[in-house]
Amino acid sequence: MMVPVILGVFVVAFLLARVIPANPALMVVGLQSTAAEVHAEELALGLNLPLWLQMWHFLLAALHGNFGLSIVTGQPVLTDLAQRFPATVELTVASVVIAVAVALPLGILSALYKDSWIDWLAHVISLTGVSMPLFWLGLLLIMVFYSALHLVPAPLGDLGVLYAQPPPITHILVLDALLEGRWAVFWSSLRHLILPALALSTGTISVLMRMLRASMLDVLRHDYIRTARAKGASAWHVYMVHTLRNALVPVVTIFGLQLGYLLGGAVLVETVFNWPGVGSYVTSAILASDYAPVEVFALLSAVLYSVINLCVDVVNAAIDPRITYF
Amino acid sequence: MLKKALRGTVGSLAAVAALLLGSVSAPAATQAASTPLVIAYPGSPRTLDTWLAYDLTSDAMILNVYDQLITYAQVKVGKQTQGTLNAYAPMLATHWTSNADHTVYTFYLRHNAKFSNGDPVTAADVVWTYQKGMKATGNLSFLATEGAIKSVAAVNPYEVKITLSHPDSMFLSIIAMYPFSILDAKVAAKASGTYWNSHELGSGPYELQSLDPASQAVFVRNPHYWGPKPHYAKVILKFITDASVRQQLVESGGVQVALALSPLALQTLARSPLVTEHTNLSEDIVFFGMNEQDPPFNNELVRQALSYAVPYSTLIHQVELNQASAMDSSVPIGMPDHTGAGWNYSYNLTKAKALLAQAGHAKGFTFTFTLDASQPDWVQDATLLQASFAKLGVTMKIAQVSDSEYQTLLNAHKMQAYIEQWDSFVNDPGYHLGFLLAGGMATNAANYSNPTVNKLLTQAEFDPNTAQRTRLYQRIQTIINQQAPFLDLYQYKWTVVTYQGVSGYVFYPDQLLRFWAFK
Repeated sequence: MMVPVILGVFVVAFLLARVIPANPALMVVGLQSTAAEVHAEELALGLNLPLWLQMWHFLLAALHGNFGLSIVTGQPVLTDLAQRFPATVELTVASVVIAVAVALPLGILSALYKDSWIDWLAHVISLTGVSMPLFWLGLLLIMVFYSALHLVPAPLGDLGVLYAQPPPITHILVLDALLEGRWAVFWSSLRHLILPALALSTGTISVLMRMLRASMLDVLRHDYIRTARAKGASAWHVYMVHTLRNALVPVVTIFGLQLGYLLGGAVLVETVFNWPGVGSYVTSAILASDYAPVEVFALLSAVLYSVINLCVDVVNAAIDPRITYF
Repeated sequence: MLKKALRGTVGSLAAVAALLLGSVSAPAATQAASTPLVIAYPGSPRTLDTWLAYDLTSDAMILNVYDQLITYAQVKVGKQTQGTLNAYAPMLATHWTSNADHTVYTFYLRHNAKFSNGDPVTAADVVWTYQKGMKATGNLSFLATEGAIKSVAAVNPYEVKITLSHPDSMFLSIIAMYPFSILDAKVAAKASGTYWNSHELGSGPYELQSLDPASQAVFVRNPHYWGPKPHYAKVILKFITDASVRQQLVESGGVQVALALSPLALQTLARSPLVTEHTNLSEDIVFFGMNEQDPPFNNELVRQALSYAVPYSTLIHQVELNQASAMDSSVPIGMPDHTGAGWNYSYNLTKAKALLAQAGHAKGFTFTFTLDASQPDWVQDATLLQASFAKLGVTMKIAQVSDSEYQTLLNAHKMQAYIEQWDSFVNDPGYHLGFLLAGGMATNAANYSNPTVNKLLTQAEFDPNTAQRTRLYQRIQTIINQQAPFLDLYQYKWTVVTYQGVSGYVFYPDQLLRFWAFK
């Protein structure tokens, strides 16, 4: 199933980028160029060819590892993406950590204290998280935590302007600074990471929390939980081993879907926070009608999303031995 | 016990977050000379290719890294020092001469100029840049034609001779522009393809240290620069698309300079004691174009009627919050030879109705207006115009499109009506009117064509007499003002905001920042 899904996503992204009546050739040569100059650039970019042929050329080149050049940077798109991908991974992983750290205890607590104040609090957090557009939430967080309270540094990327990047080891800035023992850089990068990661994690927190609560309540009603209690198992054992483990199966599935959502959300969050990742790169490519980065990003996102879903299936099987695929 | 543990976990997380956040100090309030100058730009550079660049960010990035033969001079306007596009100062050329009829210019290059890689700047580099640029697609070749440049030759390693096909009043103004940045011929000749989209190598005050077009560009001083050392050793441009973030950053000192803020943001910042707003009238005009090949806009009376239905004052005071000024000609105030002769328009619906009736549209008509939705103030302008036109019985259907889609439609001259912004590349009325309103021009999206105007424009272009040229351009404006090919809505003001402790900003009508001027 993976191959048709990936191809389908690519075709849709390719066609969507090109049906918008914007002309990348015009963007390259400038608005004051003559029609002949624009036409020459269109020929150079292959825009005069039929759509299916343009797509075929792209796919053929992609099979040979050539994903095209970015009009804006003049570099191969893969090189551009590779340079920026670690920053996006850093942001996404941080938001996952925050999401899991907040959603898991809150989800469990709201299930155990159903209809109590903590359940209502979790409900409000969840509703707020899913209903706020990411870019707006990002702006709000900047306004409150940076402008009003001065609690976080300026939203100017992943590191303070006075610090130099540490030599790359993992290419993840926080990790590299830690491994190099450059504490000031580590601290600065960590502080820059908090707000965008928090903004990106809100949607995931909401979904994970509600899913875990519902799943826990469902499992708690099962006979084997009553049996476990009757056998004198400790509360910890009942909740964490018997209940949580079984409640996690749908949560893990949703979590996998949320990783894809995080990748999409990164496009908005990175733009708001000037984060030097793939998201802001793709945003600037969209604004410049730079087709290749947008198409490659869509293709890679589809691949990543499919792989994540495959991993989710494997993890589900590990959590619940009853699940088999063969 | 479990519940206590879980509560404890939530509490611990909150405590860690508070500790992490609380440990952060407030934004820096002061700037030492060793700290970089951080400037918030509204967008990324599209290309750093000197011949192709045409946006605010790219142009400034080029201007601070490269030298041209000559540059624009600075003048005193009251107590303020400003750049002017009509007087020139030495740059790579220490001085220049011309023959009697101004068709041959000789430029004498300074001997101490070097590119940031250490290569000396010689006449060969100038000749290579001009000759290659004139053959290539892009702004240099286009402007070289506008400036009547016929040939460029090296007299000796430090003397360049430029011959024009005819005397041209725009020549000096044109070669001071960034597309005429002098490239290192040895390096540029070897580079191919899109290399210069993201690289720079010039002899100007700064060199580009790193660039991520999506987030930032870092400049450091060019160690080989021939001129005075710029105050800031490092300048960082941050590309921040959201205007409210730029506002918050400059308000709290997160950046020291911010550009292109919304009128509302500027109104808010005006109350802050920590920032200074530097406001000047730009030559950036906003007009409502009407396609004259699309009835009823082929009728002069209809265009005049709509000119009387524009709530000029409301647009300026309520939409632009006074960050714009009224126009009285399609040539902006500040451009040479500007005149308001023939301009009689004010908000007068009675007169508008009478003109519409005279045009045979007493009951009004319906038309489609295409709106570039990326400009929030234009969205408001369009709504106000729509309401005002409705009072005449004129129905304006608004079709919103993205910026890139709009640019494509504009280039194809396919819109019935639109709002457009225009800031002439060259500060010259012949250039300005020629591109906007000469018949058959690719940039004349209104398809306005008046043989008399076309003839006068050609006559003025080749007239060596300055006074006569002024008379011709003013006559053209009088005709255009009467025929109303555009509804001239307003002329933007240009505001740069600096945080406390940063000084030295110099306004140039091209709106490009000179980083080296900041202190």
